[in-house]
Amino acid sequence: MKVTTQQFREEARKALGDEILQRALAKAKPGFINKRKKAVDALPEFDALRADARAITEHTLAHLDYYLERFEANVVANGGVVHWARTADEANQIILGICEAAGAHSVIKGKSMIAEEMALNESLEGAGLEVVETDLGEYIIQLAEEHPSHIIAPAAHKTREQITELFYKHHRQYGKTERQTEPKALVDEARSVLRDKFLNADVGITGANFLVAESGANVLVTNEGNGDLTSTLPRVHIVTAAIDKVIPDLEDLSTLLRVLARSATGQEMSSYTTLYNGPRRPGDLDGPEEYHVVLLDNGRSALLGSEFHEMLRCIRCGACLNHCPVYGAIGGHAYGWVYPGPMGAVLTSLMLGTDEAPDLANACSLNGRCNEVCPLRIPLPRMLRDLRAVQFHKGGRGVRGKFALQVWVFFASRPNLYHASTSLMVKVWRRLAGKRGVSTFAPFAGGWTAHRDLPVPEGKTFIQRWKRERGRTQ
Amino acid sequence: MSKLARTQILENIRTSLRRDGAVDTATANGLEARSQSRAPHAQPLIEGSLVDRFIEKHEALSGTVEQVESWSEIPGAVMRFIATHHLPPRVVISGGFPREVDWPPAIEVEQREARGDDSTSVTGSLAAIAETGTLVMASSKSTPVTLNYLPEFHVVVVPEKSIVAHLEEGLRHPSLKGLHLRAISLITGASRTGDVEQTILLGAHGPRHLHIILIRD
Repeated sequence: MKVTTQQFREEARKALGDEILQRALAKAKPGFINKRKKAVDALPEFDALRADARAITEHTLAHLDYYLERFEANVVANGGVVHWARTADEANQIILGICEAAGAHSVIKGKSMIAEEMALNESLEGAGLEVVETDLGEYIIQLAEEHPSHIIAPAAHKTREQITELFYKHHRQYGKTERQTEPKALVDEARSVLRDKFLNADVGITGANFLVAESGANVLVTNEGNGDLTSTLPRVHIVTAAIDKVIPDLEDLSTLLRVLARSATGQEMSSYTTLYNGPRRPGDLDGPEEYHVVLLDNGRSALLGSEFHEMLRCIRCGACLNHCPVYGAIGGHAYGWVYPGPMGAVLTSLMLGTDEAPDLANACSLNGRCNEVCPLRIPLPRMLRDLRAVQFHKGGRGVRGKFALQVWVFFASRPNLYHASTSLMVKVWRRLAGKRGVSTFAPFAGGWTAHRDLPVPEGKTFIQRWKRERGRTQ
Repeated sequence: MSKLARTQILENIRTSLRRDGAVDTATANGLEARSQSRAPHAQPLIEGSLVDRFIEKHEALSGTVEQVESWSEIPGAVMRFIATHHLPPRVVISGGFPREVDWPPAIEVEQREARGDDSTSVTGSLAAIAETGTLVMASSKSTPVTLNYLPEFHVVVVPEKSIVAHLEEGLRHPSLKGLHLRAISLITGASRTGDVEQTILLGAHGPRHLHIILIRD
């Protein structure tokens, strides 16, 4: 996919002025927040589960090589094949190779963020394969030729009217010639169109929510059941997963499942959670004949043990997106790559580099809500601050900010000069503000005062008032 | 390519973890013991009747339940379900199900995997989890998984005594031990989607209705 992280400011401004997008965002946000809150409030043990979830993922990361090898050995014992890929490109080549060997023409896909990271659809279509997304949200944006704007609700930015038009335009070829406007009719129509795709595809590709080292299972969590049909109906099943998806055993899985659905959609369990152990067994009446797992690194092994390694705890629930005021205002596309919101700002900056994504770490008010709701307690605000520090030390963009900071440091490290200059500034400001006591101007904050008035200081600096107060009490 | 990639990824991981090679024997033994211990982490407190809780959770997800006394009542319960929902009198069933049941001639019964146009399936289940109203199903020669996902209406037979409290007990069910089956499915309510303006709708790709026949026997 085309990376547009460099145009973040421009795209964010556009998003703020996009009325249809604003309507879709306004509809999505309260639902996610309220449902999560209700589910979390109903479970007194939630914080204990979060603490365990965090410990489980930290334990796994500290022994990641061990658990990956163990996972691999069990997949092989179950009759599957494991492929290792250092980069997205290697992973795409592996998958193309499997499709070619299978003589495949058509591919159906379950929702997978790793596949988005790899730009797998482009790769497969480039090789002449037909690719159909089967998660309803993914299917909608595939028709619209867009990318997901949310990691669990890919079409959260689309209104019902837009979906009506997309289906009307694209489903005529299947004999569906009426404009459906009711959500139920839209879902039914997609079900009937996609049913044929499921039954006729050669290869099914899904992501994995977890990989269980103990048994070699890939765990797929969905609500629609599309992932299970994708895993079961085609002759070949390919699982794409990042190396940080592995966990030790079923007890660990239970804990992570308990926090995942609640944090994502406010459900206690998603409708379908399936552990797939390989190809069909002798005598089975359904299931794929071939089963492959592609393990992708794509820079993750280098994050281990770094100040950003906690990002590898992420289970992709999307709670940080749903609670982020910046995401809530601009949606996901402005972020310019696969992962939006707080987790996306961190991950994109790490995976593409801060030079490629210079604004993402700065598009945050450090309000801390993402950290509060993260089921794995990933310190996203701290990491965003650290990314700013990385950027600052590198120089490059943000020179104006750097200069301003240097000026401030010059004054702040000379207390007498600092007090004298601030008391002078307060006086001048006070006079400029006149009787109303508000200013329409503030140094370095033109963007803020463009739409708001700033109440000016009362006429004395804090230090001056402190001295006076102390004089009174002593 | 693959072999080199594997070596390099594992090496990168070890370098990042400041380790020279694989974990030492003592650590490996410790990790093995951790997995073998089967000790659950923190769990939600579950009090009172497991059956009541299971029914409550399942109904909260728009599922329906009929309670019967014994296995012999199953065909009647299935007929009632079909009549209520005006479905064709044809069902696909899983095998070994649910013991030998005498199906009346009024209903056409086939035991096989599901096809795209089957409207109703009737299957057994391995266990049910009271914690979340979840069914545990396993794939096997006689229990093809398509029966769980393709038909629009899915009827599941659950003996009350198969209801366990927590998720872990379902995943570690004794009847799964050592079987290495292809798929273990945890099913919680019908298929649903919220992808059209966050309106929750049932029957996205899988069953729109999940009906449970609960046997007291």
